[in-house]
Amino acid sequence: MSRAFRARPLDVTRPLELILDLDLLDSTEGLPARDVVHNHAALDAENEKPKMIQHATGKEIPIPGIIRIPTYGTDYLPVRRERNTYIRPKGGVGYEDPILVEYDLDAEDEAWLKKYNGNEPERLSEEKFEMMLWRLETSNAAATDRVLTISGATPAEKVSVAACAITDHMPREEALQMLEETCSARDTIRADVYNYWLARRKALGRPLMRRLMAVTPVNDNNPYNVFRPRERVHRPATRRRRENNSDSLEKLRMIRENVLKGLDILECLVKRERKKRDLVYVETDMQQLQIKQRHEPRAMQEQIEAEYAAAARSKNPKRPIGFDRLPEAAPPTTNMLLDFKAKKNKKRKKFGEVPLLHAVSHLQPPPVGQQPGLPFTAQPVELAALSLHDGGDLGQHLKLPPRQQAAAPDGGVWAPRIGRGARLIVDRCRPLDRFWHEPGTPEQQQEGAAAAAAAAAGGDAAAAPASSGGGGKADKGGPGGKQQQQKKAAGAAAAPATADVGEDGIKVERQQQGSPAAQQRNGSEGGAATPDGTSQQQQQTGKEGSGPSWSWDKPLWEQPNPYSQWLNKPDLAQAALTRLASTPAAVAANPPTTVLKNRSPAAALLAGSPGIASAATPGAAAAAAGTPATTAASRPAAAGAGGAAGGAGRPPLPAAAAPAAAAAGQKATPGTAGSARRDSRRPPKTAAQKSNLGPGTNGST
Amino acid sequence: MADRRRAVSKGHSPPPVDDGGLKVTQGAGKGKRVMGGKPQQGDVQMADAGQQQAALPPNAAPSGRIPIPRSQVRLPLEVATHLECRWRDDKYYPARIIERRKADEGGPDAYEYYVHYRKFNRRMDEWVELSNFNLDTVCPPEPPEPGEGGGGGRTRNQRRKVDDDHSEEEGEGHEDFDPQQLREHEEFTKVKNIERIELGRFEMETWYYSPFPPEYRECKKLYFCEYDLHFFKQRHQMLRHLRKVKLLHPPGTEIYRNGNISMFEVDGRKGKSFCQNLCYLAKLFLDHKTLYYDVDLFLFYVMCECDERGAHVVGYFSKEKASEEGFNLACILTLPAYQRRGYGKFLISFSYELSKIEGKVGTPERPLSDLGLVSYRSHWTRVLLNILKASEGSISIKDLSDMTMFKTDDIISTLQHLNMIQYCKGQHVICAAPHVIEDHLRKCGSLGLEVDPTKIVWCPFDARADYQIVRG
Repeated sequence: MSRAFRARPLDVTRPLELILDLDLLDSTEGLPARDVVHNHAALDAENEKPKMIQHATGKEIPIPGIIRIPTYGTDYLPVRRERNTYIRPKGGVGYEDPILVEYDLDAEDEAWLKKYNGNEPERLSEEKFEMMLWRLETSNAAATDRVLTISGATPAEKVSVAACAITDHMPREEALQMLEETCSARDTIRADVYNYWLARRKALGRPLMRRLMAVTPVNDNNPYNVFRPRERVHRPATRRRRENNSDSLEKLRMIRENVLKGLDILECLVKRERKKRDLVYVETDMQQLQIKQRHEPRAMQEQIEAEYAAAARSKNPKRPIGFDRLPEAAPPTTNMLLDFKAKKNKKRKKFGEVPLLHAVSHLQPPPVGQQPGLPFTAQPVELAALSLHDGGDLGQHLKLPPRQQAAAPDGGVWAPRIGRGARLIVDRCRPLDRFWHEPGTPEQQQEGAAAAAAAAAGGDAAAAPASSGGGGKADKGGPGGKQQQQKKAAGAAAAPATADVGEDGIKVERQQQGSPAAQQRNGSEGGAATPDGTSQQQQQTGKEGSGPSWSWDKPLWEQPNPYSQWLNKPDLAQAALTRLASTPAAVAANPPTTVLKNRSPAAALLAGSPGIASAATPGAAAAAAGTPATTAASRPAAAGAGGAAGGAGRPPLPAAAAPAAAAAGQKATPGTAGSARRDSRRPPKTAAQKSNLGPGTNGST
Repeated sequence: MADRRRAVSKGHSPPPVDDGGLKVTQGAGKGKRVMGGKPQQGDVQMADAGQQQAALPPNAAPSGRIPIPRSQVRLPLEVATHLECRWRDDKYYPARIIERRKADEGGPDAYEYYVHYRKFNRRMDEWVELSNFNLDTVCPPEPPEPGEGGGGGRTRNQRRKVDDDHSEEEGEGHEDFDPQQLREHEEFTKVKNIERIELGRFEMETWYYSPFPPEYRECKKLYFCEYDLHFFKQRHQMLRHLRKVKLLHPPGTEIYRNGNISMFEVDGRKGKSFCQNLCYLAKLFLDHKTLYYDVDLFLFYVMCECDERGAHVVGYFSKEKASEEGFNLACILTLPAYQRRGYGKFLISFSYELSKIEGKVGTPERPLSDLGLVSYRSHWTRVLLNILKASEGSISIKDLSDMTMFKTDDIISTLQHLNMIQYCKGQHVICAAPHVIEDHLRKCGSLGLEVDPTKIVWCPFDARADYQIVRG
């Protein structure tokens, strides 16, 4: 037989065969134990193990000793008379003997009594003393309870320690009066007993009788204290008594009435809507008839009129002729309540009509119109359709620089899309899956240009006062921004000296990576710019600062690419892209107008760098939502579909645009004003400091 | 005092035994435990324990402990010392000192020691004199404590943690208690506070600690009124109280009478005083009983022997008015003086008779005590085997449950304990060979006192009716 036994739970409902012959049993030798699992196993396991003592005749569990009381026969008297019937308590309130004096004297009472009686033993008997104390106790408890009830105490408060300790609610006069009525004793004795009782109560701070003592509070977890009331929440749910009285009946009846009234109203509503519908039907028929009367041949008129007259006479509502093949709007319902209500509408049923309420009960919800798509979401544009490749129509129109294979080794660089306001945006790569040709920002380019200009101007950067009203901009950059500016200023100032200076500048800037300096890039991005971007900018700045190969005379696309070392770094670009994408502020800060006016030498520089895409329609920058594409598109916008100036041109910035651009964080100034503008972004007070900065310093303020 | 105790034991023979009787209970409230059982297993007739010689090896030194030479034994002995102590049968048993105190007499250096016999249940713990010890077997407490041993409870508590042989009684079922207080409580309850009680015809040594009101805790002996169970510190107080008492039976409804045996049902809410007193009393004989909660939610079924002096309480069981978990019994106790008369079995049987009337399967609240487990096992065994003996073919556990109102788990447990659930051809079967059944039946003793179901006049507790009465 199989040895793969395992314990199987015993099915309690399955009949088990009674085996009388032990030989029939399966052998269990060598088999693993197959104990039947039952719920009590664990409980039984923790039972105490009986500890037996072995005797000659067997075992027993020893128990402590017992002795008989020799005087029992006289202590307890044989006075009981057996009844023939079972003993039943009266009235269902248990056994209470109204004459039993519950109080029993304790040792202290006895001592007092003995002393009090002195030489005359019968002055106050024990029994009377007990009786008086008992009366005092119960009366006091009753008085306290009365007072507390009047004051609205809860049951828990009534049995609290404090409440039970009170003796003030039964005044002395009242107590003595009570004693006089219930116990016959002399006044002096009553007073003495009362005084004794009161003193004892005060000394004890609790009732003398255990029955009247405070119950152990439920929240008292001292195990010495016993007999806590069980809280209501702990009571078994089965003991919860649900009221089933006339109040409940009345409530339920009213609910039913209300529901039925509601149904009546609904019914009227349906009736009204049907009338309206029928009116529409009639109207429809009428118009159809009129049309037909006008256009059908005269010979058919009679037939047509008869048809419509029949329809009009029809008792049952009917759809207009020609519309009666549409499916029924309301299928039958199974709603019990409605069925009940419908049953009452016998008259309607006679006409075979669907009960009124059924008509609404299963109506389909009105169709929800298709959600219009977001109008301005980026929609990819088929590039081929635009013929954007070299020599393509659009490309020519936009005067895009020729695409350089070196900069876009993977081909497929252009990623035009439709931006907000139907602007066409041409990304230089597809976001998220192609390397992004980080173009830098206008400021950087401006600064680069400014640096060059400054170099040409003898490096007197300090001479450029914060004159152009962009002063508000400086504080946006924060400390990092200031540092960076100073650094650049230093770099710019040192540019004429050696190329090494520029390298120093780069190093310094790299140390500053991670600072909010990147705000410079787009003044209102609020610090969202990335360290990567920062380092790129700085490097670019440094290079431009040394700017050996830049020539104003060459077309932009023939200039050397200042960003070449950042090309083909998809990871950096991706990181920058991700962070930029999360800053909607960039969009808000980039109003299209600004973009359009951003035709600075820097823009030209950018446009001239290899592989840089140009933007298309006006305002495309904003639509690009803060991605680098935005800036890329915005600068050359120069050439934009708006057809303003050529991408390579350096048209003077309209004067009015300058303040706006500055406020928006876009530096768009004519090349010659570059240095001044750059300085303007620094707080005026730093001008002096800047002059002290040597090449390669951190420029910390 | 030890001598006196021994004299007591010897001088009186334990009641004749035919089977055990007593057991446990719980009291009120969420109490926990049923205990009980019969002191004697099987149908062995016990003779006078005092005359019996125990068969235990007298020199069973505590295992793993090596006695120190007599000359190094210092008096007084430390708490937690292990040594052998003479028991009431004049044999020596391994024991452990739990507490010590100055003796009332014998000079300033005389101490009494509270010892736990390691082979017996805690109920046998007692105060003994030094002369009861076998000082050749002294094993000092380990690790030895530098200071005096008789100090406060804290140090004893710490020492006790070192001991492992006492753990079986500790700890279960007190989840509601504050741990710190529970420790103190355990510490405090290690020693019986009341040593003996007088109840009616008998004076009984108590078994366990009971949380009497503070003013009673220092009494060595309490006197209970036999009828309403009020307890007193002095006998004349009890007698004076007795003169006032007119009610010579428990304050409840008589629901059964057969011969001189009556059962009274006392509602914990109506007979609160009686029921609380009963709980105080019962706790003296029940280890795993708690008086944590009040008696309101319980019904107490009090078993009485009736004679011309009234109805004498001999035992009881309590039962929740509405048990969510299907318990038909919370605590069960037969007073020691009335044990071994089959009363324990009677109470168990009665609880199932009530369950039959209710039509509800029931089971005792766990855990069972040693005595309780033995009694219940024997009852289940006897009832089930008698049914199997009369059955043919096949029978399911559920059928048995329907017939007996035993919970199916209890049935399985019992049959399994008897090794009667076996496999035949890969199926569970009940092994009901006649000679096996007879064997088991013989072992589980007599039927005890039988319950005559026709004499029960009872209707199940009806919360609604009860409520109506209360509201008036």
